Amino acid sequence: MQLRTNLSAVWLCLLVCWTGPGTVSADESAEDKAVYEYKTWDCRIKGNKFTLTVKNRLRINNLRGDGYRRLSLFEDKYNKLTGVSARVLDADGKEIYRRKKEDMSRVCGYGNGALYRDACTYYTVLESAQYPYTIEYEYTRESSSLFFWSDADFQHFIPIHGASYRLTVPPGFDFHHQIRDLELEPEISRSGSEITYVWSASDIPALEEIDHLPPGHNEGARIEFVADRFSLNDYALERCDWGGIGRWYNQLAQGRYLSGNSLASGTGSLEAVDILYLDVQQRTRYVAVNIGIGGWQPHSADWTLEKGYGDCKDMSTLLVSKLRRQGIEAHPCLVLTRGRGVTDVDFPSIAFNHMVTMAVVGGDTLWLDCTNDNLSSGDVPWSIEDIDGLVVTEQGGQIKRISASTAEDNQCVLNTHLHIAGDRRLRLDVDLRVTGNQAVYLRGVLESMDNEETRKFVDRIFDGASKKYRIEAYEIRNLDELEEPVVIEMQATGIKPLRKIGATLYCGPFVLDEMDGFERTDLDDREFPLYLYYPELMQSNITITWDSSLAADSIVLPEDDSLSYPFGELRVDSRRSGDTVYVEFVKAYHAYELAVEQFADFEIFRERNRDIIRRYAKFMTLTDQ
Amino acid sequence: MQVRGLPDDPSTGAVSSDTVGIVTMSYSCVLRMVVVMALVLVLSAGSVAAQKFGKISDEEKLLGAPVDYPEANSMIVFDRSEIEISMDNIKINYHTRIKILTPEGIEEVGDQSVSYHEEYDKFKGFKAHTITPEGKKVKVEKSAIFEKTADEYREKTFSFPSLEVGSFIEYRYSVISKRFRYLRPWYFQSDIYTLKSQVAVTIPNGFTYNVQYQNVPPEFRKAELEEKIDVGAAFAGAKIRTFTWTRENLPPITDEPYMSARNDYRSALRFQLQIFENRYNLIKYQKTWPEQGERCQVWLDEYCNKDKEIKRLADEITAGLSNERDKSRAIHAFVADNFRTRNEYHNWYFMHDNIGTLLEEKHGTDEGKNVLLCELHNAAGIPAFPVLISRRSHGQFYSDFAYLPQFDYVIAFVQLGNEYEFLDVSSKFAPYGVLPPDCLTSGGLLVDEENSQLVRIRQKPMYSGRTDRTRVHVAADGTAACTTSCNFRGYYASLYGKRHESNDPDEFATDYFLDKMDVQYILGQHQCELDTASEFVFTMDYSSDELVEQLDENLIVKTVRYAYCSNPFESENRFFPVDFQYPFTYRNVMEIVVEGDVQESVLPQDLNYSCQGATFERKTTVKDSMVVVDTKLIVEKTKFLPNQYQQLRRLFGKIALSSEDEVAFVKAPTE
Repeated sequence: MQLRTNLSAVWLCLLVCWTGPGTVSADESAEDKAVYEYKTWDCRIKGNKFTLTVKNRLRINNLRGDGYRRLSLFEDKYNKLTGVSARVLDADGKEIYRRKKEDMSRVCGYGNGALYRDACTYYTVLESAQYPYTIEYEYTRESSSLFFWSDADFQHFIPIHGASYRLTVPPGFDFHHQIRDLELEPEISRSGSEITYVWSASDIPALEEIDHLPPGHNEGARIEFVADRFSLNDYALERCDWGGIGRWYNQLAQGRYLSGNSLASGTGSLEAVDILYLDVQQRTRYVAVNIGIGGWQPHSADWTLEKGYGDCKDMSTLLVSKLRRQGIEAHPCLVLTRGRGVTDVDFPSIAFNHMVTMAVVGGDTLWLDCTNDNLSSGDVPWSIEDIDGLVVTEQGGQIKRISASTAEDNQCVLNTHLHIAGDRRLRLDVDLRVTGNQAVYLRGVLESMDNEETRKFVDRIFDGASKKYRIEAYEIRNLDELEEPVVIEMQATGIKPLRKIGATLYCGPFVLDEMDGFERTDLDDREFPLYLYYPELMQSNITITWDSSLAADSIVLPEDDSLSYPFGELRVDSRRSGDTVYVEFVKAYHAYELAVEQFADFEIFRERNRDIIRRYAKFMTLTDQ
Repeated sequence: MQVRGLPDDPSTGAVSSDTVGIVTMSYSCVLRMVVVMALVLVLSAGSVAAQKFGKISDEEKLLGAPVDYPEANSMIVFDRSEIEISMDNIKINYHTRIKILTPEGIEEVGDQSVSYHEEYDKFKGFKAHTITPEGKKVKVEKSAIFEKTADEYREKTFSFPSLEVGSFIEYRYSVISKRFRYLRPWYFQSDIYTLKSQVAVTIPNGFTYNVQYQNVPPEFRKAELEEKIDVGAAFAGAKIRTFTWTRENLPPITDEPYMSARNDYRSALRFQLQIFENRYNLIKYQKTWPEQGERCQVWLDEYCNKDKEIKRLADEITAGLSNERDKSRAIHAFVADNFRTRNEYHNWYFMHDNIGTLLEEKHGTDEGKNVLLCELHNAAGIPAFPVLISRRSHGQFYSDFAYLPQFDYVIAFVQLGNEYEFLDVSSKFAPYGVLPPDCLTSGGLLVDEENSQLVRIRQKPMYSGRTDRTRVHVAADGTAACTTSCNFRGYYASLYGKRHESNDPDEFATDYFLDKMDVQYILGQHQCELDTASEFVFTMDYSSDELVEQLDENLIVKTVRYAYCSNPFESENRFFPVDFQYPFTYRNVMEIVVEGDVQESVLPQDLNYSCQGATFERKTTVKDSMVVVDTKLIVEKTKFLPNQYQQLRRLFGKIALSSEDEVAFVKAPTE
């Protein structure tokens, strides 16, 4: 079944301005498609403002490099684009044409999954008919707040011949920086009222395209910057540590919680959390509108309540308010979700993209995400499992680890009865029960489907079952009962008879067990961990019966087997009892990712897995049907 | 978001009282085509016009999912447009009411948007609210209405508050337009179920509009007519007439495979101003096709400003060639090979203000390149003309409606003595004279000044076929090494050539071929070329350890096939035709060679399936210890009507199933 793969496909949505094309075949060098001849940044800081001038030049060598010919720049209330110019040069360096900001297409209001975003995007495509050609462009961005001062990427999916970042600051300007995946020391010079830092690197190799990469890996060499102090509108960060960032958020959220008296902290209960969480989920829907500071400052809880919609910050603010009123300790928690990166606890910054609520009842800590209607109050959404979040308390911010799930939390139990009819066709009765992350995914996908779409989806869940089986009936239960597993029942008949070669009838019991994408990844020469996504337990309980007319003389069962490693385990047991064969197959993963040192073991593990699911129950028959 | 058509001409479209003088004569105002000037029974239970904003009827409160579409999450209760034409402008009032039937309906319809053109339209009078099941009205505040922009287009986007199952959302707004000539089309059908859709057009004396019907059954074409005296008219007896069309119980139109533009299937009306007449004036607005062509010519002439350079280029390209067809081929190859396509538009069909910039920059839109193609032909002494068409993906072409915005593309018509060719240079892999399948429309407007005329574009009676040939070499360890050659001819070549150019080469190999098989693979070398026989040829090598399964002493080899491995017709029902665009043949030949001693091979049985208009057969043979599985699908016609859908679906289901068949090799026992 493809549940896990589908879930990973849902979250895996990279938003990279310069997207590399697809998989490069084995013998090709990335140099062949395109190369940055230089990338430069010149950042000048003055007070709370900064000006960043970017100059890039890249050569597109062939059709494969065409993914790099798009130029897309944003502008909003706080960040103005000036001095935009671009030109395209032929192989001899002769200018073919040039473009300015006014030549570019302009689209405003769209983007980032929001209903409306108070920003405009300028874009154009720079290209020529003849390869190679060179693209050269520069632009200046004037930002009115150091809040927007961020990273410089020194590495891409194509090589970079030279990159440099020049930073000019007034004396006494405090900032933090972190250099990732590169050895770099700045050249520092002082003159008059300025201090200049220059970081330079050359011959930076291309990043590899790696499948199933855990967050935080292969993100490329870069310099991350954050000012020690900044202000956005009237909200000032006085010190860039986790406490300070929390206090800054408190300023933004001040006066936004529900007014009225709150019960004393500690008087609430888990049941109250359930009720209030469900209440916020049901009374609000997700709508994001980012205007000005609205991308970071929540609407008031009263507003969210009145409108019945809001974004993650709005919903959290409302839930925190309601919980506190019931005497439950509750705090907003800023997170960077899985798939968008990893929060470096040693490098405080404002790199967050989501907000949830932390509630404490008795000794229990609950993590509550209001933006997903398919979670109960006990569920932690996969996007924030086992990551660090910044909990904002009255004193400021504190990093806390959000709980991880276990394989037992994410179960997929498949009970399958196979009956071999006299015509050698299989009849299937399937009962699939899913809990945890997979149940959340199924609920989210199925809730809006009509009958036709649901039917197609059921077919896809069972790996294109309709090519092998005629699905006669199916039923899906417990979509609204969040505390119960999602159940999918299906009855089907095999379209083709089972394979019979000579006197042997082959019945593969693992009709619905397939390997997931990450289990088929090529690990040769891989230097990065393998993403397993989340711990999971998959269990198939298969019973096989057969028509007496088949007159099976003897039955060879699939061989028992088992294998266990810290990251996971496999087990298959078969037995026969009278006219029934029982096969139990269990596979579990106990980790979110696999370290490189574990690859050798994993190769054995998955090879055995592949072997197991290809095993057959063999019926030596006397009767040739 | 760009409207693909010639710019409208508001300066001549608007008819003000100043320009026409005093309206004194009484002329009758008729709508031509199939409009009947009689009161006709309207089949609705009551007039939508009677429904006031914010007033929910008892009937509506009780509404549930429609019987014929019980899974509806939400439903358009009514969707109404009132188009009021006056001497000064056109005012279009919109009013829509939707009921939410399920929690999923909240997500489905909770956010809405409406669009208009910044230059030609004024957006006014917007109001929106939620009406809860208890009847409480919650307004959409002005601060919750946002405007997005994309060049000259505007989109008002807004979110409804306080939604729950049983709520109604309702909004209305007006657009004041100066675009008299072509009114906005009215679509009765939407992407959710529509209980009632209505459009009312109010026309004062003097105006005559053409109405074009799309997917409107004859019994719904007769409008309800209401007349009243125009008290403001300058002469007695002048009337204002309101024509109202209504349709009810319309299922949503959803995307299905092998369909052309979705809007082609939606029930709709289009209006074009024909004439304005009064006592002193008779102004014809509806141009004939030649007149439209003349307008286009002016615009094209402005674009084409490099005669000398084009002449020089044409001479260079055709130097040493005497035969017209050879010259034409050379010109075609030159433009296709030397000019990149970039489909971003700043100036209607063209990226640049003039052809000179296209020549300099060596890239432009496909339309610009096709116009260049015409210019080069003409400079070489071969008559050639641009032809405006509406591509299949854009919508059907209506030849009896001289309405320029229905076009969205330009191809080239070339006269070669007594013969002719329609040419397109959007892909260098497309054979000469073979249009892309998307251009296989019924006809278009050939632009030749006052001699402009409609031309029919006939599908060339050519063989469009694809032959995939794969040699599978099975090694002793069960790994399969495969070499594939895919040959595309005719419209297939045009289609796949364009796909190749629009994609990264590796992604072309994986997305259009290898990923169809659902096995793991390692892609090796691959390349494309257009051979001398105008076949587009794609070759690739790859290996897989999932194509072969070891079963005791047996090797089971899966079928290798890159197309029709799954049934494209997943929906159980279909209410509009299946459109394959062109008849075609798909042949797949798989040759299997197994290392080691093979005692016997168990072959899949030969197959022969057919339905009216399509056949599929498979033959398996053994030839020199090589097993050859040869399948062929022939689709003989372009369109299959809805009543043929089930047969077609069954056929493609069987074809997909056949891709699961295997060849078993029983190996000789090892000593």
